[in-house]
Amino acid sequence: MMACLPSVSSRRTPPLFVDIWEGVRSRPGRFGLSLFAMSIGMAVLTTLIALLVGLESRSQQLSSQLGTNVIAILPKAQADRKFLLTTHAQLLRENYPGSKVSGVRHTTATTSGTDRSLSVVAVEESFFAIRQWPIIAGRFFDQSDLQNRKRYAVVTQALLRDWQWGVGDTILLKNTPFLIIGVVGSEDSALGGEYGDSRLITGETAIFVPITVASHWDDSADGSEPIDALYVRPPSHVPASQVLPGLQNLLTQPDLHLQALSWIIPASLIRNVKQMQGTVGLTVGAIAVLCLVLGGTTLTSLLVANVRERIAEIGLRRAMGATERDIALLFIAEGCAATVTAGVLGSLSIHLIIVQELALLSRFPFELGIHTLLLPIAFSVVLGALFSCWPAMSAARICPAEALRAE
Amino acid sequence: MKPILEFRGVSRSYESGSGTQTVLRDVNISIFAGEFSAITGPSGSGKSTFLNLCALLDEPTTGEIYFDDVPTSGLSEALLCNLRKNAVGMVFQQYCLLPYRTVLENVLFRFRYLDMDSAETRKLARNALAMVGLEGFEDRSTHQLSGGEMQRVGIARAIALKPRLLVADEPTGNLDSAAAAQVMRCLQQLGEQGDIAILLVTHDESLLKYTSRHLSFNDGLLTECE
Ligand SMILES: Nc1ncnc2c1ncn2[C@@H]1O[C@H](COP(=O)(O)OP(=O)(O)OP(=O)(O)O)[C@@H](O)[C@H]1O
Ligand SMILES: [Mg+2]
Repeated sequence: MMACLPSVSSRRTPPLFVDIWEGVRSRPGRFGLSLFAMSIGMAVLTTLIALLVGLESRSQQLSSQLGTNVIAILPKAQADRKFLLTTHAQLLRENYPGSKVSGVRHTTATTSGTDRSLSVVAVEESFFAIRQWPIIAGRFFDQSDLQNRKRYAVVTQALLRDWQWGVGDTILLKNTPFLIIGVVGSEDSALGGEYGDSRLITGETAIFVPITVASHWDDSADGSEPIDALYVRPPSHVPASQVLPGLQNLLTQPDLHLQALSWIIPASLIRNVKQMQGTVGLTVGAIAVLCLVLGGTTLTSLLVANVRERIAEIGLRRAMGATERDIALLFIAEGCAATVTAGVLGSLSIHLIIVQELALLSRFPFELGIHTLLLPIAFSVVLGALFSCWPAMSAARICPAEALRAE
Repeated sequence: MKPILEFRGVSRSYESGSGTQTVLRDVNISIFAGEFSAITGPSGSGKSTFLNLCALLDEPTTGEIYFDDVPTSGLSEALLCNLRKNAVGMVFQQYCLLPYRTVLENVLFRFRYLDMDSAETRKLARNALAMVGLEGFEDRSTHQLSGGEMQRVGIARAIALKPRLLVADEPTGNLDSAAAAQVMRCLQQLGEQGDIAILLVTHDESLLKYTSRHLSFNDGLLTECE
């Protein structure tokens, strides 16, 4: 007896693009309005994601470039720069025998055959172990080099490439010959700018010389010489944050006259970034949420109006055999079409703006990528479904016989 | 012969603020293949309500509707939708055509919720248009049609997939007598094929000459007229 009833087909007919396009086309103004509001929300959301991801990778960069467990001590930016002395480094070394300590002094020098001035960084032998840069050729200084005040130089890879120097070459710095004994791969550009301190940067093109040589070769004094910064690396099992208070006590003793110091550890750099992340997340996030809620409610009201106007069409579809689910899907698909279009528009326009105006916006570490494309679009699908859910349900619940009365 | 559709003790009432309004009372009738029935009656007597029940778009308050001897109250929504799209065709007073589609696309809309090969559906749609005398109108936009032509598109859509039951609620209500006659001849030819039952609601007694059976509603009560 049931044989004459057609069996339920398991395949669903998805709402066709034609159906969606017709819905859009019949009310272009309304659709445009909600598209506009949504697009702005999506653009702000893309910016937010680009910024948060950018800040996250900046914080990783910062800690990896300073070294994971390093304390940098600098005079406060406004203070007289040359009041940290090599004797202070000595003081730390005596009090913290397990830690590596190095003073650093920055100067510039010209070399023969060019008037380009080079950044010369006078360091102690422990400096490379503290910053943990890889040695690419030759070797670093050792203790005897420093004791014997050897006129040795370690250069960065970039310099080597630019000047075609090699290990074993002799270069003239302020007319004094230095023998290149090693090449180091240094990278610390992220340490400058908003979150670090530009004095932490030695740069990609620097020449490192022993600090003891520098004292004779530069304006010499009595062995208690000014330095620009101090680096301390505690033993690997002791976190920098744990050593920090002791160091601070030691160096802020009144008789040392060293109050105005900046203490920089990876954690404090990252804290700066995290603070920024929090601020950005809150402000930009609030704007994004506001725009999206605004866009979403516009979309909902658009769809509610559509449902009301299209009751006869709903009746026709039901008469043609559409199930409640088919009707709900139709309106959800229309909602998603609006939000996904907005997601693509918003995200693409932000990509364009950021790529075009990168120089202008470089204060902020935007990071574009697959995440800034796919996340907003994925999010827009969810939003579309969310905001069209209610109108779609109400459309599905309309009784077909009543709908046809509206014909 | 088994009826396609059978009403047993069907009534339909609506709850409203002022109480219960009974629109159909104890309707008992069998509809057979090959019948072309006209349904008449005053406005508000329950004709459309009856037709919606026949098209399985509504459910009776009491009583049972049998489709091919199967009680429809026991069918799931999915099965009802399936019956509707496979076995029932509907024609509407306001034609109910989709404004942004061509004539052919409107007829193809019959297959919107069916899984059928598109070459096949195109063939069926063209055949249906030929049957209502609208060959060559395929690519016309629907606003370029007269009322009679629009209604014939509506009929073509209803019969593109041959239904077992065709219900038409005042299909000639908006047409002049010439156009109405054309539409009625279309339906009559269809009914003459023998395997399809047609239910037609009309206010126009002059159309009774096309039909083979006459049912009349009065205040929710169905009477068979000879
Ligand atoms: N959803 C509903 N709720 C309450 N009453 C309804 C509803 N639908 C129909 N009715 C009532 O049922 C009665 C019968 O309506 P129906 O549409 O079947 O009449 P009809 O015979 O088709 O009239 P007409 O010739 O004017 O189309 C009417 O009085 C109408 O007001
Ligand atoms: Mg009616």
